[in-house]
Amino acid sequence: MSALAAGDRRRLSGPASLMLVAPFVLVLIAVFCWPILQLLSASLFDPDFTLRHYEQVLTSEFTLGVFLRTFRVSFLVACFALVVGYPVAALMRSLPPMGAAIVGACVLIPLWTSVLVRSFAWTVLLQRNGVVNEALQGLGITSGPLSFLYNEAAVVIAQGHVMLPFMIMPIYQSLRAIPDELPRAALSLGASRTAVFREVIWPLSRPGVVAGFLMVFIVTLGAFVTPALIGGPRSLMLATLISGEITENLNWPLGAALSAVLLVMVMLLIGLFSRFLRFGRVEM
Amino acid sequence: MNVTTRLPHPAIAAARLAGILGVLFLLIPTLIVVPISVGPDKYLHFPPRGFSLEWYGTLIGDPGWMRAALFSLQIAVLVTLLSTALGTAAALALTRGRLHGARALSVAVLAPIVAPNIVVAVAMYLFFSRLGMSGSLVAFVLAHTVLATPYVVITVSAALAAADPDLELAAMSLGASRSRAFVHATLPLILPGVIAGAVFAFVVSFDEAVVSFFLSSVRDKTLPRKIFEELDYDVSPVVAAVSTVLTFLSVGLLGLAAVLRRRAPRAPATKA
Amino acid sequence: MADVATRTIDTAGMGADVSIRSLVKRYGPVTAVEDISLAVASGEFLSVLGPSGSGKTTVLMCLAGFEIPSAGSLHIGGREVTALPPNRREIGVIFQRYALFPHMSVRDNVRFPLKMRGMARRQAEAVVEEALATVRLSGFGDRLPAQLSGGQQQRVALARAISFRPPLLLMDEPLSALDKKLREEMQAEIKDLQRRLGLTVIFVTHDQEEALTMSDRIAVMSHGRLEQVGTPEEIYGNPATSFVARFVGETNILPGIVHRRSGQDGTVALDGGGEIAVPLPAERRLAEGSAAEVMLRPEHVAVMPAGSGVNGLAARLVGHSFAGATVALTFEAAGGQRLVARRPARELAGLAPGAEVVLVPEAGQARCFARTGQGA
Repeated sequence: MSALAAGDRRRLSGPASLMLVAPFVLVLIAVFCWPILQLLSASLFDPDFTLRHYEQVLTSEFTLGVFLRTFRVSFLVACFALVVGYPVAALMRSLPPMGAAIVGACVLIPLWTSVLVRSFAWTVLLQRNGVVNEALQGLGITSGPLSFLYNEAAVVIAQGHVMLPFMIMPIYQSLRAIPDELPRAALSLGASRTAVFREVIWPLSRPGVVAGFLMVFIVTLGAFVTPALIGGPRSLMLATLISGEITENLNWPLGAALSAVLLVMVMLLIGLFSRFLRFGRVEM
Repeated sequence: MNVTTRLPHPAIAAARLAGILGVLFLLIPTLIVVPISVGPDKYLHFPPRGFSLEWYGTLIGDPGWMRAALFSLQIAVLVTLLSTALGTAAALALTRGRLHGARALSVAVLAPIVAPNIVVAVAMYLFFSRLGMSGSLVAFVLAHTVLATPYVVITVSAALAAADPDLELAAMSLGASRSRAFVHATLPLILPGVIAGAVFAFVVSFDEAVVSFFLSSVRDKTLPRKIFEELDYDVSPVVAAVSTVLTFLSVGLLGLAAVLRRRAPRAPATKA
Repeated sequence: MADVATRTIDTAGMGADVSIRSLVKRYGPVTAVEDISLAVASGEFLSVLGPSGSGKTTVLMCLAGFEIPSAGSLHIGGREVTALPPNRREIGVIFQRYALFPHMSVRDNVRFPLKMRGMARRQAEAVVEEALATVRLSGFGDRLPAQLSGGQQQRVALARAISFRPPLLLMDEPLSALDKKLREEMQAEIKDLQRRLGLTVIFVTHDQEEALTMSDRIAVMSHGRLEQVGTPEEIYGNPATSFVARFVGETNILPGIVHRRSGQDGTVALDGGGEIAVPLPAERRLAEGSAAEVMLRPEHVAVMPAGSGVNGLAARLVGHSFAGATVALTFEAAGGQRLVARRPARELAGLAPGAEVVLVPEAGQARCFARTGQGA
């Protein structure tokens, strides 16, 4: 706190700082906090105070099924992103600066591409008259078109793709923090290449893995666009359910209660794991 | 005489191959969308059987697409101006100011990008509907400003953290006023960060799909909402053309932002 | 498991001999090591000394197996290892920045090589305790590397590198991160350990004092080539090239022309005026009239009062710096030539800046080399 000492001329004065931060805080209160409070109240008052909608959320087999599926899909997406992303991060680490920059660009390009564009591409690839089906039939592997779209596997692949940069970047950062001498020392001490990975590289990159995994898992819990476009009615996820309750069934209180539960879950997870998480660092 | 070039260990070769496959996987959408947008077929074929800019023509000639694009552009420009001003001011206060609870505040400022998109979107939809403002330009601008400003705060804070606060002291010791010291000593150093933040804000707004999905009306819809509808309805090559334009715009702008942030002037290295 | 145990006993006290044959290492167009051949005897302490970029670390990395030679072969203990993976070479390597595994306790760090060799846990524990005792760190086993001082970390690295009793220890500037006092302590400790275990040690350093103090022999490298291999006394007292003379120890450099040469002796006429007698062994191909450089160690310069009738170089005292037992006196001779003499401190008495003196090189101690471009 010594940096806050009143005599420190490098710091702005209290009133000046307040005036600088106030405009955004006011916008935040008016257009973010207040609407969320309104949403919470919509879930609790109908028109008098009631817990009916929460009861419905927590007892309906259907909504519980959606919760379960959302958790399962989020977990699978995180696993998928880890399996695909770790080798990419390792490749980036092993390349000279120029090569690492090229791979880095390949990682960031999808991050900077609209989620809609990416969902579109997966649709084109996986649909009945899509690229994969054409290729399979052209090669004589299948005789008729198969349905790859509108199921959980498609959602895992497409959402996994969306989330990959969030997995790769923290892993890459923790791999980059391992000095070259450590694997070399392990080799000189008799470790095989696999032992070097198991005993040295993996344990030291684990903070990045944990951060990436949690980030992907948490963000996917509330993912809307990809599950809505790629997933079918049988692979309904939470965000799509909320949107359906509000825009189709016009059941605001239920939609609000579902939103509240999602929000609380996400906040709990972030609170529990805050020391592992690195929000806002992916773009760097 | 007996020099052997050691082949890479099989485990390493396999890991590298997996990495390369991962990179290809990352590039799939881009590699799919661009060729389709310049193919001549009504139905999607890969690889394309020729080259044509037909779909780009259709796109430009379609008033629906153009309206949505202009509306998105209008929103994004306003959001960029607003969130760059708000975000830079907030970043200054948070990194260089004297505030009680500055730490808690800098976490709170990130809340809009940490909270699930769907919840934020639904809450804002409810809020603006009750005000009768759903679908209005003001609603979009305010909503996107909330979502974009955290990115400005992050980039500008990083730039401020890298700029030595003693430079301002030095400028003041040389006779500059507080504000002149900021303008001459600090601003040039953080300007690349501010511009990068502005670019992020623009792209966040222009690409934003979830809040737009709820706030859009039949008449006033953003480009992402329009794509969403088209995708739900039919997969047409015009969408590929829009997607290509959108991808090149985002990647180009954000690439520029990345370059700007790399080029940011740094203090000369001091020997430890 | 049994054979691991017996092998550790067998190799204890048996350093391996090392033979480097025509080693070449290129990185693209850059040649880092150019045709080096060097034999190291069992139990020998050899320093590879050179400035940064001289290729000394590359030689070490080739021996350790982290770099593959472009040509030539490497043999350790009679076994060719040129293309053998590093994990099968049985060499202890000490890195500049210790390279301790930050996520493992001191004990697990030292146990690592034993675990990799499949030694049973209980047996390994005993070896670990012994290794920690050897480096005087018993009781530190449960700490993490980050909780230790630099010197302690270095000792853990040593314990880890010797715990599996390798017959050869490679050290890459292991003491450069330590302060002077600690460095001297560690020098003694490493030397002592090497003698007790009978290890062969190849020690890379850019610090000539360190090389002189610790080594049985020194190999001086420059620009990827070996300049000289010899005992510290030979390297210091009889440098083979002007590079070695300049790099090892302080020296005065006096440019001149070979004036006269007869048998093993000659004289050099200095550019600034005056003459100096130098030994000219047959292998120095310096004909009369060729450009030469005379190198003279400061401690081999005697200082006489002017007009004492002794033959030498007239000079004037311009400065001195006191270093405890000795004092370094800086003189200016004819033609602006600067010379430093290192004398016992008591000899300073009666000499004030501006004093006129005669400098007399100690007989037979001056060294003469052909003048090359680099001296300019």
